[in-house]
Amino acid sequence: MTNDNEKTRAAADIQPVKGTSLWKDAWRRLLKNRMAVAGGALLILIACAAILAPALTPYAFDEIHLSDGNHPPSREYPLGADHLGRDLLTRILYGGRVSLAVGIVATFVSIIIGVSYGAAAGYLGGRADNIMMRFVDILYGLPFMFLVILMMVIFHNAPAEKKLYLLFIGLGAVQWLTMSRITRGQTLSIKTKEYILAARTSGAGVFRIISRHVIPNLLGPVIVYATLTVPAVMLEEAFLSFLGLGVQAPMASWGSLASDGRQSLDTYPWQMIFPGLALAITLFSLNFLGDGLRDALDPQMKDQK
Amino acid sequence: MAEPVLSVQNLVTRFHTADGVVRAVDGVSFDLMPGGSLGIVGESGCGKSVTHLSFLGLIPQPPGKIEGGKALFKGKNLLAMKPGELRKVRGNDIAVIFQDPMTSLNPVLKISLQMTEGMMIHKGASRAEAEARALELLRAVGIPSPEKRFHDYPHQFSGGMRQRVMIAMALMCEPAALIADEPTTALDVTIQAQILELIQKMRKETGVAVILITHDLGVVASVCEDILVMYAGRVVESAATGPLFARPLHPYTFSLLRSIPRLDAERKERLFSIPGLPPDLIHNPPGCNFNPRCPFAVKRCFSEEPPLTEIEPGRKVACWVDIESKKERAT
Repeated sequence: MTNDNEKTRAAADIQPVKGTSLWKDAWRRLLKNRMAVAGGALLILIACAAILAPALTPYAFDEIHLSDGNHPPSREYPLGADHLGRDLLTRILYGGRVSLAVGIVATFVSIIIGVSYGAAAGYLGGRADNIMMRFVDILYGLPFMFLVILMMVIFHNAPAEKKLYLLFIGLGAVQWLTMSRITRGQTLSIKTKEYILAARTSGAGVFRIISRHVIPNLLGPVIVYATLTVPAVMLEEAFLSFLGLGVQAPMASWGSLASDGRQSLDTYPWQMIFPGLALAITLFSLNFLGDGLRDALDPQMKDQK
Repeated sequence: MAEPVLSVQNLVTRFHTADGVVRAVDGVSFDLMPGGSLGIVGESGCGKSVTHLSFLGLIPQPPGKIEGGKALFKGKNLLAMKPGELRKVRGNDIAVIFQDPMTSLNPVLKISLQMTEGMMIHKGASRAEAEARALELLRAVGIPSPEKRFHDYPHQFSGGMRQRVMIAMALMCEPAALIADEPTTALDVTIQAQILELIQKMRKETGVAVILITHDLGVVASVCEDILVMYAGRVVESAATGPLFARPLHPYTFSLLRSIPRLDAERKERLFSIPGLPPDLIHNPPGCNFNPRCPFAVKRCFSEEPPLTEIEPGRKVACWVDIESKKERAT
């Protein structure tokens, strides 16, 4: 009988069924979603343009041509120039670097803090969970934007690059709260799964179970929420810069460029429209990509709609 | 007689819930001999699983609480161990296979990672050593071309194959005892037989002692040397397999055996089922737990709890009634 079994198994082995993994499946579904693909492509384009900025324009981002102040869009200045005669396209490309970096780094910070905090709270449960989540509730209660503003005011005299890091940290610190709540909720359901019990019976410690067994199972919702956090952070950075508390001249971000342009909106509208457009397109793309990812990673949810 | 690998003595586990105290395990004792095989049989909710989860330190505390007894593993009391020490025992000296192979493997990790994890934690083995051992075991449990399947995800295996993977995984650290908690319940009948055969084979090859927890008497009959029948958190009968099936002494065991469908039964005969439900373990009836459902109950059963008494060598039963004499009257 064993022999027979082995024969049939060997026969079945000749043509193994090619399995698709969860991620391959999700990827296939994502590719079917045109809006998400378009969003992703646009984002890659924008990111490449920002990275390759020095090669794309003949100007430096702080190069001043006083005689060309407020020059309208033309052949020399494709998107016009600002009041100091700095090429707007160049400044938008360089500003994109700052805006995208803020979005990505702050989101990254929020993922690192939020996911480990939330997974720990959810997995430990009981009193630890209670204390940890009440702490989050308290922080939620604080007007965090106010805190970031306060931070920027206190470190008013810090050098520009240091201020940028402060911005990363400040914005990341605002965003990790929601991330930790989402993670905790997911962890609560994951920890009742039998494979967690199996991992415990095989003698794995708390840290190992959280890092090896819980967090990989959380990745779906975390990725989705992260793609939606990036635009939120970028918007907040734009808001701060608009208030004059974010990125300082001569550095630029899309928010600070729009803020500068606002002063001459009536006379030289391109100075506000183009940075605003760059921000809007990026945010749209991110949102479409995020929605697409959510549908791809959680196909049942889409069917329920 | 050799020293038992695992000796559980008078284990009491209770859950303190809002509705009252649940007496999940109420004075359970058994010995597991090296290389031996013990079947624990009983209905759902009679404390079979809680028993092993208790001495492995895996019941949620609170509400659960181990309120008494000892569990000696190679002479050391597991119940007195600190969580860290107990963790070194779990998976290393005592391994567990769970009921549902579909959910006992982490869906997002390759089986190669899951299989090697335990050996790397406990034995300090290198990844290469652990992988070599895993491949060897996968071959031993009958996974065809393990090198190819090694880096697959759990969903790429069928239920029976996953249970084979689970068994291989449990044996990674060469444990002295293997607890199989309803290992075949989630599988269909033909696969069940294969898995039981495999557990037998691995027991013979590696000398691991096996505790097989099940509600299926047919399963233990083919695999186990000794059987422990549990009812409502207590052991009601313990005996070697042959004598137990030939001559059940506790009314519960007797009823269980009668409720197994038989090929040689009369066509018109209806399958016997035990009337009533098991007690809810918060409000145990006074006296013997089985008294509301027992066809042989006498007055004493309603007032005094029968102790587990050794009535002949290797045979213990907890019953006031001399069932042999009553059985004729009932049938």
